[in-house]
Amino acid sequence: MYSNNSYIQKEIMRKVIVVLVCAILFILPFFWLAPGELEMGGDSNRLFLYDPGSYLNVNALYSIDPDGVGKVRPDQFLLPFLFVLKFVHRVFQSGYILTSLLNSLKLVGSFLSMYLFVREILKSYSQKIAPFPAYAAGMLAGFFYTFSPGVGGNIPSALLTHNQVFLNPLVSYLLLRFLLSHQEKYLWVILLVTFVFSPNFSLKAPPPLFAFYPLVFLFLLLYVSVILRKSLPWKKLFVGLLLFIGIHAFHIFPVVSHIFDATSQYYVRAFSTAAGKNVGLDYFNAARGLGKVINNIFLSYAQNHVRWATFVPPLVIIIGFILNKKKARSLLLIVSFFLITLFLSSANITDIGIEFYRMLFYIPGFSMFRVFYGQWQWVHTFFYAMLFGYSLYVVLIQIRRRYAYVLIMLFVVLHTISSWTFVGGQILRGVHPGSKNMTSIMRMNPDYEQALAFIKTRPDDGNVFNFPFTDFFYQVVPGQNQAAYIGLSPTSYLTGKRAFSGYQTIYPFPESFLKLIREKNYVAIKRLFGLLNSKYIFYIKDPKAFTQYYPTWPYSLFLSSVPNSEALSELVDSIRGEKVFEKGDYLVYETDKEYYLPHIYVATNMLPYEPTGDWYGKNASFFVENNSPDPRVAYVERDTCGKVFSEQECLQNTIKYTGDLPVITYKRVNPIKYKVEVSAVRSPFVLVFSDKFHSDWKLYVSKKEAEELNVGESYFNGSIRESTHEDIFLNGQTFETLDMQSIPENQHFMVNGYANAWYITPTDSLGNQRYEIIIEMVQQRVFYYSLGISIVSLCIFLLYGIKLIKNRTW
Amino acid sequence: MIKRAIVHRGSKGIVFASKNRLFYLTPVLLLILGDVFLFKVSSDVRIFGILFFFFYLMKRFTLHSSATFLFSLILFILTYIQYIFTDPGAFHVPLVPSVERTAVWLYLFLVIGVIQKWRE
Repeated sequence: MYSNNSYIQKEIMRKVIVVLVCAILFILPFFWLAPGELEMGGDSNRLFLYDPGSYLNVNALYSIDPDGVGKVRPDQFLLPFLFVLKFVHRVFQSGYILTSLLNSLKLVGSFLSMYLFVREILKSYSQKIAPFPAYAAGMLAGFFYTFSPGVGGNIPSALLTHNQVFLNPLVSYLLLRFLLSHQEKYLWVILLVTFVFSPNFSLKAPPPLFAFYPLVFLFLLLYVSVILRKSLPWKKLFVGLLLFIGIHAFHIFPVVSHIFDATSQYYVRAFSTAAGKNVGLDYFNAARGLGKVINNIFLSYAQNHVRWATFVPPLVIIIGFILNKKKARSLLLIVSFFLITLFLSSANITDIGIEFYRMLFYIPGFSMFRVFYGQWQWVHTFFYAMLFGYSLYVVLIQIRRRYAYVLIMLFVVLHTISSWTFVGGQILRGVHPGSKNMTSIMRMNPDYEQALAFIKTRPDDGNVFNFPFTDFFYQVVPGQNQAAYIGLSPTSYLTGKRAFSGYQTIYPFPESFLKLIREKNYVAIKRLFGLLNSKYIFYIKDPKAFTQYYPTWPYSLFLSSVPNSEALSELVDSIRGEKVFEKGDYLVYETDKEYYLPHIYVATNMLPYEPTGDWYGKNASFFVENNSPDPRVAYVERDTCGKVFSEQECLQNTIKYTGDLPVITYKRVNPIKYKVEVSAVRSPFVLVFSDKFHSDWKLYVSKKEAEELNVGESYFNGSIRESTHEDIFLNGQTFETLDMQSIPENQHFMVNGYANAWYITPTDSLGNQRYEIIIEMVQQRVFYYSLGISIVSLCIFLLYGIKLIKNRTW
Repeated sequence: MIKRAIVHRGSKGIVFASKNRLFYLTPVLLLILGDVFLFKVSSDVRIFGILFFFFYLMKRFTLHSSATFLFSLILFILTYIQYIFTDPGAFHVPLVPSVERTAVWLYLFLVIGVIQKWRE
């Protein structure tokens, strides 16, 4: 009786300690940042932590990139996650709390899931499990995993998929419980978790998904069926898979349709052997030297003076094998997967191993793992933690309790020391490379927030050109403190105005642009801004945004043309129009009205040009020499011209449309749909639409009478007018083009090096002089249909959950 | 007298070796040290040559997986000592420091130990 009570008391005590550790882990991230501070930069940015509502509306609803020239890309996988964040943000009204809560979730989720997983796996070691060693092994494995570089090393500038650090062990644990118990509640929770955190289960960002789940699923199948010799719930798994596809249809199907679009980069990466070699194998060959076995044995943060403290886990594993006299098949299975993942994440193990690795890149899609040392690190850390926990158990059951305590304390102290940079949050406060002590933890400048609000409320459909201009697709936004956000442009992702912030956002013009700056050819720059539909220049004058604090990175290319702040001010002054906003160091100018081209315009001239001739191989500087007083020009490659117009016309230097140009009034319904009221049509004309050319942009001539659109902005003596724009995601007219016939594709062609144009003849409008045109990105339809499937599946899924509760199988 | 002493010492050595069969793996350890410290570039010929010699000794003296894991422990200690005394910058550039080659040896012996354990 006494011993039974004592056992229960000890169990309660252990659970209390687990809860206490979770509470500490939950609180910890709130000390990493001070209230009001934000950390949002990086390649995929986390602007959603600052304003999830705007980020959702701008970025997650439509298959169009809100940045640059608007390439087609399906990013709807963000929807459920952003809805949850929007809700939490609405409750707390603080980006700081949202950031800290998300980090808390990562820590607590990682620790608890790993702890539970290891405890569950240890049950296979013997019929009777020693409670204290099992508890200690689970705790330490969780502790090891949570503070490992795989979890903490990527927390600054975390990618969208960084939630994988806790989702991986959590889903693995739930899946293990499901496979062992066959209880559907575990399957239901897995599906719910995958739905809320759908960015981690999207085909849009496949490496984290495919590097982890296939291996872990295989491990679990072998563990349950071969090691434990239990049956597998195949039917339930199949139902789960169907439900998974159903509730995730809203992002899976758009991406799949995108993958099979021969013009998309996904198609090229997945199916092109040449690209597979270039993007995959060649990249691997170049980066191979960065894979090191040693870095995957001693998991150390990039802090040199404490790496000596990382020896305990590998030592415990080897001693565990030496002490383990019985043939623990589960241990052997774990170590086998550990060694496989160690090979995958280090690559450089014997010449034969390297050749084998190279051969893997001939498998379609394997090129996604070209950054192998990064892509496999999470699955490696997962198996490492599992193996450490299991080996620790083997060691703890064979040594005296007092030595066990010493070992446990030794590990806790050493692991805390080796990961202190993460535990203490210093890792987030790293200095930007090459900067003068600028960090990424910033306080938003209220002046900047006002500038953003100003841009957001502009009623027109003009784009924004950001200065200073970066090397990549970043924008540098300085904070009130000695810090800056460097990541995707908030102008694009938070205001809904398309912005050009860096070299990669103005393809095919970046080299021409830099050259024109060097030549001080400001007229040509203004013409380029017109072609890019840039109506505003957003100039951040704050010295913290440019060379005084960032002498090289991320401006090394721009600096070749604009070496300092004075030169930048001179450039802006030479190309700007009227100032429309000024607050502190944040200025918004209009561009020169004489050169501005609205988003949709009727070309007065067609200028055929030869396709080759400069750096880009596409003669991206075709617009430089044009002296036409009217900017409504459409530049067309001579090859393309021949497909639409007669050979004779294309041989001329200019194809002119004079006299009978129609009057257009256009309205943006949403970023993938525009309505254009055309009147006074008497002859064929070319309509230019300044979004990146894609064959899925379709133009429909409506049979209905043209809607009378109210007029806002007006250009070219009223021949082009902008109406009041809307942002309607779904209404009764969303599918109005389904029964319409689009203009034949041979009348759709690329102009201005990137934009769409249609050659519209009176036959297309059945001779009408006034009618309505609808321009629509039809790939969005796939999303709408898929969303329908997801909503139906979600209803079934929720009913299934209610049924489980009603049947008391919960 | 001297001859008797040599025979006595020789027989003591044989008794020691037969009691501590891991002793037979000393040449393998020396070969690995030679591979790590005497050569700058890794070679599969050397690696698999040494491994085949190791397999032969394992077979000849019927050594079990525990011996391989004990051998791994020695390699681990060596790796760790090299690791803390190597310039940390070497771990994040394409160059291959000698500690990396020791770590590869450790990896290979862990693989061998695990395969042996599966078969035992």
